[in-house]
Parts: sequence; structure tokens; C-alpha cells
Amino acid sequence: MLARFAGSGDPDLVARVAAEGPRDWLLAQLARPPSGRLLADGATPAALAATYKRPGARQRRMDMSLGFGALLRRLSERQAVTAIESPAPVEASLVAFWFDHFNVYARKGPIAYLTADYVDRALRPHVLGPFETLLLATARHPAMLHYLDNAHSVREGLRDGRGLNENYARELLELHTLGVHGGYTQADVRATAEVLTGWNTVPDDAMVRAYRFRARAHDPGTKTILGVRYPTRPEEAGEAEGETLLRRLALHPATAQRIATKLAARFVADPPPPSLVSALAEEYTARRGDLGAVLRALVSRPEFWAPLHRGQLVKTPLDFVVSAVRTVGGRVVDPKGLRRALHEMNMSPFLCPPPTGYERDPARWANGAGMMTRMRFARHLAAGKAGITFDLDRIVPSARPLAALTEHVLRGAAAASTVAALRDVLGGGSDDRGRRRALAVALASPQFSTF
Amino acid sequence: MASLRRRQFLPLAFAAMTTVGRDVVARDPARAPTLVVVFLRGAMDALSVVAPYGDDSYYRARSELALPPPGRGAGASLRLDDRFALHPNMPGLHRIYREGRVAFVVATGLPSALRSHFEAQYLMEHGGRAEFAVPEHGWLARVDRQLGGDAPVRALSVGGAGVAASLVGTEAVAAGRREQSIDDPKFRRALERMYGGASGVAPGAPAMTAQAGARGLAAADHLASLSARHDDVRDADFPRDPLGRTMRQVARWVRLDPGIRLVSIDAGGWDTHTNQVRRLEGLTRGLDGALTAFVDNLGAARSRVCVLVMSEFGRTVAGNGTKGTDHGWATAAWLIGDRVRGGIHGRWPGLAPGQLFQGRDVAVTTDYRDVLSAVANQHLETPLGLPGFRPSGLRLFRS
Repeated sequence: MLARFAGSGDPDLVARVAAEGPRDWLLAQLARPPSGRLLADGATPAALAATYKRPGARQRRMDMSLGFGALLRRLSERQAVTAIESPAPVEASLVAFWFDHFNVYARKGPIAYLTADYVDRALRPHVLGPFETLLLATARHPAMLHYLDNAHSVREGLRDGRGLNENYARELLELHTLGVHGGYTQADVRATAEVLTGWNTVPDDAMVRAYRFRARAHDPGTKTILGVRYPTRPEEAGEAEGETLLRRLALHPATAQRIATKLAARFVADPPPPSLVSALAEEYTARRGDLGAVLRALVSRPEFWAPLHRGQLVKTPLDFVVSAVRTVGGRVVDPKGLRRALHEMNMSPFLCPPPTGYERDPARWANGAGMMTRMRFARHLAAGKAGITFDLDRIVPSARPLAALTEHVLRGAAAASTVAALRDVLGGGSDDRGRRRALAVALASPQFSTF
Repeated sequence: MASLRRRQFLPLAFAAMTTVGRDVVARDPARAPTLVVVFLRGAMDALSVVAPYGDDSYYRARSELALPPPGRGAGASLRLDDRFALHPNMPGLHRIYREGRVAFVVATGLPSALRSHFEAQYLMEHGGRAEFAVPEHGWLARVDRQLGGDAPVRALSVGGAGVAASLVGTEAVAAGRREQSIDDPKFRRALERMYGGASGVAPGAPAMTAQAGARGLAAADHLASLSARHDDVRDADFPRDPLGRTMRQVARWVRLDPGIRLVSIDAGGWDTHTNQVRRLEGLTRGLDGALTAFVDNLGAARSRVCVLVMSEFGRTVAGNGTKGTDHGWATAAWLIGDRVRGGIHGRWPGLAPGQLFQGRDVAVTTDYRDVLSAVANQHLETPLGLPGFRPSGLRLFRS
């Protein structure tokens, strides 16, 4: 439970959860107000744009600004570090989940400047709120507008050479709401794009762009989407049309089904039990898309707690790295190692080009090269060489090293071959190097890569 | 999450035609075709590598960046035919071309212009059509599944970080980076014990990670044992730079092990926005040295190995303000192998102002997916079957 929802925890957290009762602890986490932010200094997009120059930007003499790559590296590192250090680990998992659902790609245009703002203002405050609020916040955020080109989508004939761009409309229906089999047609995609013409950006200070509805660029005609005419009332013509459309999409049964399926597959089992999906979809509809309510329903269902599903999901590289560091109670001294490990495992945060975001497909992550990288990271981390420090005596006490590893690190899931390997490495003694090596073996085991 | 998986691209033809791959495997394994892809990252300036010296507009548009025409004298380019000549620093490739073993495809690239390195590479390595119209797995991963087989290492990704996007979705093994090896023997033994005893694990996620880890360890062992074996690869032939070292290693591996069918090699540094002429002198010399040494050191394996050299896009026809070029559209690709149809393939779109794409770039006349399809169908004998694409039937190999 802790591993799936909170990237695991150190012995203190494990004890606290046991004392409070896992379900009550989770419910309390799901009732927390939003906290934390991606960049510790809370730098605004404009401040970032002033500090980090885009490739090709003219550098003035004596310009002390940093390169764009430095910002991408910093963002990537912060994603791992905030997940590791967050006092609200459940929130951190949910933010990562919704980032993949509403993916943007930080290397496109000015998005790197906007990524932290997107995470902290469009996603984080809404992960336990109504889905429509989350959807509207992403729809209007300049990172999304730029990523899926709605920033430039205007009514046909506004100016030569410019016009409608269907990109956002298509992904809105296919990925953000209804799903590819959600029953819409190409005509619906087109009409959706027309409704959203004028949802553009304007230059803000320091070259960063901000959302603005440009009435001039909006298509004034009547559109029909999934059998509903927009604007639904004459006074709604303009920006409100789009708001109505997004709200209707958020509450559509296909969206309820899709979000229920995705959450169940992420937190319970993949493919998810149909009974769970239909219960969650019902809750979603009954509570008008309240994501907090859906998650509370999820952790109250027997399927979530069923031993049958334990250890049956493969951790993504981010899950793996975060849970390894959190399990040992690690303190990040130098985040480079985290970033490099994620890069080698092909999962650099914020750098997934397609709008699907990083998929959780185990076939993508459970391969020879990926597992070898996990083994090497486990060894570096345990040896104190990954830029992370931790208290070895607390995690692998010399009095009972094997028991501590199988109970705390492997949560009772160790296979016989894993226990045998741990025994071998520990030998009879409990010297520092042997314990570090044994910790590496536990973190590198097939079991630690699943939850 | 099968119900959610986006864009179920895998065509029915895939299942129907995998038998083709199986037949290949069933044949003498020592004759099984191998493909080595060298991806020139950063966008290779094809106009300076396979220069269209026969196109008058080349010298008008390029001025000081153009290669000198072929002929006598220092710095003269190396004649391929009446229209094209090779960079003067590529005499090895020129020799192999004259032996009829190099097929150049000019003016090839993505079906629509996309000027971001990363996105264009991502797209090409997946065999996609346009931004976001991307199949689920890499194109080599697709081929790997079609080839099948149970060799300890079927696919390799070398020279970059992690696994190349083209191989994501297979059991491909990243190799060739010293820091990726596990150097603590006790840790290594424990891993073997843990993963070796893991084959009996009940099916499910731990079985997946156990099997993947076991394959990773076995592959690393296998490659290490190949590296240790005596062979006739002449180290001195290879340039002493990262690409040279990588290709030396790969030559050894593919020569000794016909089970390795697919290799992706990263070669960086081609993003020549500044001082292009000088930078390309080094890049072409290094590439020529590595390719030539590779092909010359394959021994008996030469007849079954094909090298594909490709890049994500080409560069602007005109130079920029910093003695370099910016991101363009069409580039060139080439194949080296005993069975390729040597020569220049593809229609040359011309460099006159009216012939350029958006007034600045070489237009694409051969979809890069035609090149991938030709390699897959005619060399590897697999269907490939990229979603949403019907190959034109470009013939790059002798039948």
C-alpha cells in the first residue's frame, strides 16, 4: 500500500502507518490540503526565462545566464527529489500520475519555463478535487496550450495562412477525457477544435506566454459535438462554450469509465478487476467527478487490500528510484545520480514527447537493460555513491541484518532465491561492507521492482 | 492495461507474417542477416557528405560551405557519379562504393518537416509519420519481435544513454559503457544466485522482472565472453574515438555471434550550427574510419551484415551567420553490404530557389520509412508493417 501510493517509506513512516492503521493513514493523506512545490525557490516562469536562455537566444555580452539544458536538468532532478522528500508522498504520487495523463514536453518551445508552474498550479491543487477543475486548469495553462498547439488555433479566415489546429481537441477527447473508443468521430474532433478557437496565449513579460481568450479569434458558428449543439444557449457564445464543453466531457460516462480504469490499473492491478472499475466509475458519476471521493472509494474497496494483487505491478523507473531512496530514508546530497539513473532507464521526467505520457506498460520497463540499470543504481545507492546519504545502522542493523532487509526493504515478499542470496552476502559477520552489499542485493531483487 | 492502450497499431499482417521471420531463424543461423544502424544524431548535413556537385544551384546557394567538385588536387571531393560526390575525408567509403557495396538514398527524411532533433529522432526511431502519430514501440523492436529466436543477445543498443528509442519494447541490451558493468564480484554472484533461482517464480510481475533481470545478466556475461575470445578484428584499423571504439566492439560481437541480429549505434556531434566546414572535417574522417574498419573487419560475417547510416533531418541549404547551417528537412541515408544495390537512389529534387521546401530546405522525395521497409523486407526478411504506411517498393538490395 505504502509502496504504491507513497513511493514506500523509511522505518519511521512504516511504523507510523502501522500505528495509525494503513487505511486511516491513507484516508488522512487523501484529505490533506495541497502542499509542496516543484522548485524550492518557487521561481516564476518569467524568472526562469531570465535565468536560463533558450538555445539560439542571443546572449548579450557579460550575460551570466545559464543554458536551457541546465533548466531541463534542474526540473528533472526536482521531480525525483520532491517525490523523495515530500511530506505529502501520496500527493506526490498523484501529481506524477496526472502529469502523465496531462503530459507536456519540456523541450518544446517555452514549456520548460512553464513546467513547474503547470505542475504546481494546474495539477497539484486539483488532484483531489473535481476532475473538471483539473481539466479546465490544464486546458488553460500555457504549457498545455503550447504543447498541443491550441495557442495558435484560430477561426478559419482570421488571417492568411493561419487557422484551426485540431491537435489539442483530438488529444482532449482521446487521452484526457473519453478515450480512443469513447464514441466520438472526426467531425466531433473538428467541432471541438472550433469551440476552442480563441483559447490562445498572449505574450507575458519576459517572453513567457499567458492564457487569454481572444474573442476575435473565436469561431462564432454553431457546432455539434456528440449530438449537443454549442453554444448551448445564445448568451454562452464565446469562452463559456468551451467551459461547458469541457465540463460535459468531464462528466461523460466514457470519461468516468476511463478515469476509473486508469486509477485502478495504477493502484490495484493491471488489468484491473472489473468489479472495482465499475464501483469507481459509479462513485465518479455519483460524486460528479470528485477525484478525492473516487480515491477514498478505491482504498475502501477489498480489491485494493487483496493479497492476490500484492507485488503484481512492475515499478516504473521513477517508482523504482523514488522507492529505493525512500526505503533507506535517504537524504539527497547531489541529485545528479538520480537524474542520470532515470535518463539511463529512458524515463527522464518532463521529457516524454508524445501526449500519452510515460506509459506504465511493464513490457516497456521490465527488460534486460532496464533491470541491469536498476541493479547498478541499487549498488551505488547502498554504497553511498549515488549522491544520497542514509543511516546504514537504522536500515540494516548489525544485530539482525537479514530480518531487517526481508521485513523492511522487501516487505515479506522475498523469494527463496533472494533470501539465499542475502544470506550469502551477509555471511556470518555483519561488517559495514557486507551489510551495504546485502542492502544492494535486496534493492536489486526482482521483488523490489514490483509493488 | 490493454483496454486503455492508445492506438492499437499492430496490424493483423503482423501475426500472419511472423512465420517469415521464423523461417529465417530456422535457416542456417550463421547466415542469418544482421542489421547495424548508425544513427548520426544532431542532423547530418547531407549536402556536405553526399554533395550534389552536378546541381549548379549547389554552388550558388552554398558558396563557401560547398565541397569542391571532384577532380585533382587537395580537397577535391570523391566522385560517385555525374551528379554526386563524397566528402574528401571519406576515401574508405568511396572505395567500398566503387566495389558496388554502398547504396546512397538522397533527399530522404520524414514525410513532413519537423525541426526538433529530439522529436524527429523519436519519430524516426518509432517509424512514425508525424508529430504524435507514433507507434507504440521502436521500429527495431518491431523487427525483433518478428525475428524471434532464443539467442542470448538478439539486439543491442550501444553508444548512447540507455536503450535507443528504436529498440524500446524488446529485450535489447545497452552495452559498451564501462560504467554500466557490475564490477563487484560478490554482488555479481549474489545477483546470479537471486536471478538464477528466480526462473521458478509463479507468473506475474515478479516473474517478469526476474526473467528480465536474468536475461540482462546473461546478456552481459555473453558479451563479456565474446569480448574475451580471440578473433581477427584488427584494433589498429579503428579510430581511437568513441565511435571507433564502439564499432570495434560491435564488429567483434556480430562477427562472433550470429545470434545478434539488430544493433543500434549512436554517433553524436552532427549539429553543425557553427564552423561547419572544420567540424565536418573531423566528423567525416571519424565516421569514414569507423565504418570502413568495421566492414573490413567482419571477415566471413561480411556477407550477412548490413550497415544503415541515417540521421533525423538535413540542414538548411544556405549557411547561417556563424559559418554553419540550421535545421532543414531532407538528408541522406546509406546502406553498406555485400547484397545492396550499389549506386545513388531516390529522386533529386534540385536546389534552385523554386525547388526548395519553404524556400530554404532540400525537399524530401523518399520517405525514410521506405528505406526502413526496404532494409526490413529485403535484408532481414521481416514484414515490418509500419502502421499507416504502404511502402513504395524501393529496391535497395539485389534479390
